[in-house]
This record gives sequence, structure tokens and C-alpha cells, in this order.
Amino acid sequence: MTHMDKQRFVQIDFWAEKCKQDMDSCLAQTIPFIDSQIVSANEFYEKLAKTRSGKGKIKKLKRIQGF
Amino acid sequence: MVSDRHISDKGILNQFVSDFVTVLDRLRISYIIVSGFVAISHGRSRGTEDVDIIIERLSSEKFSELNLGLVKAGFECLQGKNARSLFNDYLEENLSIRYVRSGAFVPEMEVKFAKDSLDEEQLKNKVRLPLTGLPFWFSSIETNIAFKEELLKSEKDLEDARHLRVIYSEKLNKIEIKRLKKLIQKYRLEK
Repeated sequence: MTHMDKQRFVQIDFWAEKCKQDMDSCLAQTIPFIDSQIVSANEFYEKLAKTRSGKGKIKKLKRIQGF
Repeated sequence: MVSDRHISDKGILNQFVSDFVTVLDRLRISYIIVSGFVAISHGRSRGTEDVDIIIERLSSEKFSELNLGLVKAGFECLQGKNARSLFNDYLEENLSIRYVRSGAFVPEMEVKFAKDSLDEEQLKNKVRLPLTGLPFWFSSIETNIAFKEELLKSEKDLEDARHLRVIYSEKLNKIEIKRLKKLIQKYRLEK
């Protein structure tokens, strides 16, 4: 295990312990983070769809048929 | 700007799952939510674009009913609109199909049929996870850990498993995780 891996696991353990102690307050922090990621991703795809070859790129990215 | 869009107290991802499983519940279709969403609903702080769900094997007619119910509830399937094709070309071949809310790109609900006795066992032993505060059916924590550590093994999956191990450190059935890992070897890795 590398030093980076160890540091990452320390961080994961720290956050998991916090979640274990008070799940509600941790979820109150993570839910808006996850929501904003979803909103940002949709906004990006919408912008991409309006570009010249955007729809084709989205089709490739998301393996969509008949987009 | 994020505030331009409606974000419920429940969260976009939770609402998305809730709306999807409401259709499954109404049609009395057994399901389990597995993998990343299980970790995320336990506070794991990471992004995701999809939620993985395993449903019981359905007849073509029942799946058409499900697909219609999902369309009426505002979902669309990325692989196409033809229910028969989705059933024959994907689900019957043990391939997943993905639903999004109409007009949106993420999140996606990745739907698979239970494909072997390991999946059947997961469905049979589905659990509620009160710590999440969510009224959904999940595969057991032991199952999620076993799959992430034995089969999936990406950095993200190993971190998810570690997170769940800490959260449930006093309650985890470690013998069960070992048993499940052996089954994963048998059904998914030795084939």
C-alpha cells in the first residue's frame, strides 16, 4: 500500500466514523453535494447538445440509440 | 446556478430512486438496490451518475407493463422505446437497460434481471437499511461489501466497502462475507 493509499484510507475512515456517529448531519452535507453534481452534469450535457456535433458526442458518451 | 432548479429536501438522487421504485412497488415487482447508491445513502461523499437495481426476472408482458408504467411516470429508456426489443436484446441476454427522467441525462437507473442463484439469493434476502432513512429495498451490507471487494475491486468500490465496514463494524457478519465471496468466485469468476 502506498503512502497516498494510506492517507486516503485515513480520510475515508475519519468520514465513515463521523457518519456512524451522526448520519443525519453527514447526509445533510453530502446530499447537496451529490445534487449539485447532478445539476452541473445535466447543465453540461444540455450545453454540449447545442454544439455542432454535441448530440453525437453525447450519444457516444452515454451509448444512446436514437438520440 | 444550482438554485435555479428545484432540489427537494430529500435530494435529487433519492427522489429519483423513490419515483422509480414506486412504479416497481405498484406492479409488485421485487427489486434490490445495490452497489454505489448503498454507500452514498450511508454518507459516502462521492459523485455518481447511476443507481444499480436488480429486479426479479419478468415475462415479456410484465416487462412491457413495467416499461409503460415508467414512461407514464416520466422516465425514458436510453436504449430505446420498444419494450419487446429492450426485453429480447438486453434483459433476456442479461444486459442492463438504463432509464433517465425524460429530457435529463443523469442520474440513470441501471436495471438488470436477476441472472443467477447469487442474484436470486440477494433478492430473497433483501433488507431495509434504517440508518439511511430511506424506504427502499437493498441487498445486504455483507453482500455489497463482498461484491465490491471480490468482484468489482475498483478504487471507488474498495473505498465504498471500507466506508460500509466502518459504519457497520459491530454488526457485520464476517463469516457471511466470506461465504458470499466464495459464491462470487463460483458464479462470476470461475465461469
